[in-house]
Amino acid sequence: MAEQVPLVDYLVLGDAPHLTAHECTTCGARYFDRRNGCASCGTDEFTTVDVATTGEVRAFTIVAFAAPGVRVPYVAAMVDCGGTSVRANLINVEPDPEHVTLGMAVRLATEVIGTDERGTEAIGFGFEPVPAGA
Amino acid sequence: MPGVFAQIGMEYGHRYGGTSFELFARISEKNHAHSTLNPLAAYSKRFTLEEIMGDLMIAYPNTRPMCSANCDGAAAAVVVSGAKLKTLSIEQQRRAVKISASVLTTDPWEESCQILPDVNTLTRNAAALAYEQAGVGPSDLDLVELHDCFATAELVHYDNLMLCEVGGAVDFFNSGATWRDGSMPVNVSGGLESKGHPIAATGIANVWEVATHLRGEAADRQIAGAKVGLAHVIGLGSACGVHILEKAA
Repeated sequence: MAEQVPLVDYLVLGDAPHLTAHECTTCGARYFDRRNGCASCGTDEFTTVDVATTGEVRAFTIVAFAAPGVRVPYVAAMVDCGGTSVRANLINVEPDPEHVTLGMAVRLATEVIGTDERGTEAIGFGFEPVPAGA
Repeated sequence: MPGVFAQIGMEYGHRYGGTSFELFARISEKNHAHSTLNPLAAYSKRFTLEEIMGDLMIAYPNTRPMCSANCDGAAAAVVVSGAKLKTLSIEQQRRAVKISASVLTTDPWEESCQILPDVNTLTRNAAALAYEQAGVGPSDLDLVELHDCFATAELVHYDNLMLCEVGGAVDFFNSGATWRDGSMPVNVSGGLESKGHPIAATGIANVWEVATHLRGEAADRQIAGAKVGLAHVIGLGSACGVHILEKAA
């Protein structure tokens, strides 16, 4: 299997891909990426926590107009994963308002977003609709 | 940027319900209708609802006329003390407008602010402080110029500026209140969607629009008898300015 690298440090690959956040040990505020101090309470101790891999779409837009080289349309969304808001695109769904709705249930999904000359794959993440009955 | 503000409007809809592509387009329809009376607007053309909804989609639910217009522009304000004003001509004193509140706020931390800029909390905080400074309430306002960088943004600022009940922005707009003949005219200039959004000048341009009505110099778009107005501007990151202006006594 080709070597894989995640698009961002907070995406953990493997059998059960998931996101991690840095959680303030004092107030519980969560941050993606590196954090030196807490913007909520001002303290500087964090622990790493897993973010729920299912969530609800709190907001979305369907971007139809973008810089050259960016494929459109795509759906950018804000997903509430058990109280932690995550920014991601919605994937594996038709990018139109008939198929994307506020409050829809989604789950984390990964996808290959690029491959270099050695075959190493860059893995990104998005959220896809949870199939009925799943 | 269009996508960010699209989501800000959609998030309001998720929280309180009642929003739709058509609702946001009707906000734009209002502002473009207002712009026909403003000779200084970059676009002073009225669009039908069908034209707005059928125009080029930028970032759903905002089509091109629902986005602020790119343009150049300039605006200025001359600020003097009450003592200085007394030394100026009678005509200048007549045209002077009182700054009853001048507030600048920035973001406190909010759970989701790392992934979607929060334009709500700081606007609400600025408005609350401005009403307190000025000693007036939302019901005292004769007109409001708010930061409609996108049609989706105007809706949330009805609520943030406390022009309506919390969660009531959709009903408030649907009541017709924010049209120029309504109980709370909003963006009678045509808003940023029509008059344009020359970033650094936008805030002062909103102040200028309100001041022009308080002076009774707004010609065809004059809100009759305007005595108190509010001007609002934001910049992502975020900063918010709210001014309450009153007609000189």
